[in-house]
Amino acid sequence: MIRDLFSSTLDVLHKTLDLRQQRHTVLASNIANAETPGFIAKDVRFEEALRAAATPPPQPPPLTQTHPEHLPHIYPPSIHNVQGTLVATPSDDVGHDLNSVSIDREMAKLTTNTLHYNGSVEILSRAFDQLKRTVSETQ
Amino acid sequence: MDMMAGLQVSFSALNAQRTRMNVIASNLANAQSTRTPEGGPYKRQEVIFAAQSQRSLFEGMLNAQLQDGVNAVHVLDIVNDANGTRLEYEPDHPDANAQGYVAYPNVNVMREMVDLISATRAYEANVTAINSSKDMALRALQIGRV
Repeated sequence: MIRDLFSSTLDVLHKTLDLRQQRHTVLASNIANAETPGFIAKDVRFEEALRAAATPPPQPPPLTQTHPEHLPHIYPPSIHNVQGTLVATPSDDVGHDLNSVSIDREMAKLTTNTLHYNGSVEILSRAFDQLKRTVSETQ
Repeated sequence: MDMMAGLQVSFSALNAQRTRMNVIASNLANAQSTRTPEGGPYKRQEVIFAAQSQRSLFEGMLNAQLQDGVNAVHVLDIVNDANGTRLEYEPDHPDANAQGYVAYPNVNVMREMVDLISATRAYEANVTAINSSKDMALRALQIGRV
C-alpha cells in the first residue's frame, strides 16, 4: 500500500535527474575543451533505455531458469539499473586542429539539458507537494 | 560530488583561457620590442591546451565508460613561435644591423586580435556552463521545499 503512495513516477524522475546530471558534466567537458587540439566531442544517450525501463512490455519475455544457481530473471527491469551510454559526436567541420567541438551545438545541448533538468525538478517538487497534501488533508 | 566535477572542468577551462589571454596580451604589448633579457627581439608565444582525464574525481561515481567522457583542460606548455623575425629597413634605429635592417618580433597584430576574440568567447561559453551547473544544483536543493 505504501509502495503505491510512492509511485514509480518518483523513481523515473530520480533516475532522470541522475542521468541529466551526468550528461551535463560531459557537455561541460566538451565546452571546456572547445579549443583543445584533437578533442572529440562526446555525449550521453539514455532516453531510449529509460523509456524502455519505464514502460515494460505487458508480457514478460519467456525466460526460464534452467539451473537453481543461475541469476533470477527480474521482471520488470529495474529503472535503477538504467545507465547512460557515452557516444562520440564527431562533427563535419573539424578545423586544422582536428577538434570536433561545435560550440553552438554544445551550448544548445547544455541549455536544453538544463531546462529538462529543471522541468524534472519541478515535477518532482509537485509530486512531493501532492503527497504532503494527501497526508495533511486527512488529519 | 558529481556536480562539483562538472564545475571543476569548467573552472579548468576558465583558467586555461585566462592564461591564453595573458599570453596574447603579452604578444600584443611586445609587438615592437627589439630587446629582451635573452637577447634579440621578443618572440611570439603560443599556449598549448591538452585534455586531462578526470578519472580520479569520478572513482566509483560513474561507470568506467562515462569517466572517459569527462576531461578538464590544462595549459600543457607555452612555446615560442618557430617563425623567424620580421625585418624592416630603419637605418636610424639603434638596433639596426649593418645593412640598416631592424629585426622586429614576428607578432601579427591582426592574428592576435582574432585569437583574443576567440579566447573571450570560449571564456564566456564556460561561464554559461558554470551558471547552468549552479542553477541545477540550486534547483536540486529546492526539491521537497514545498
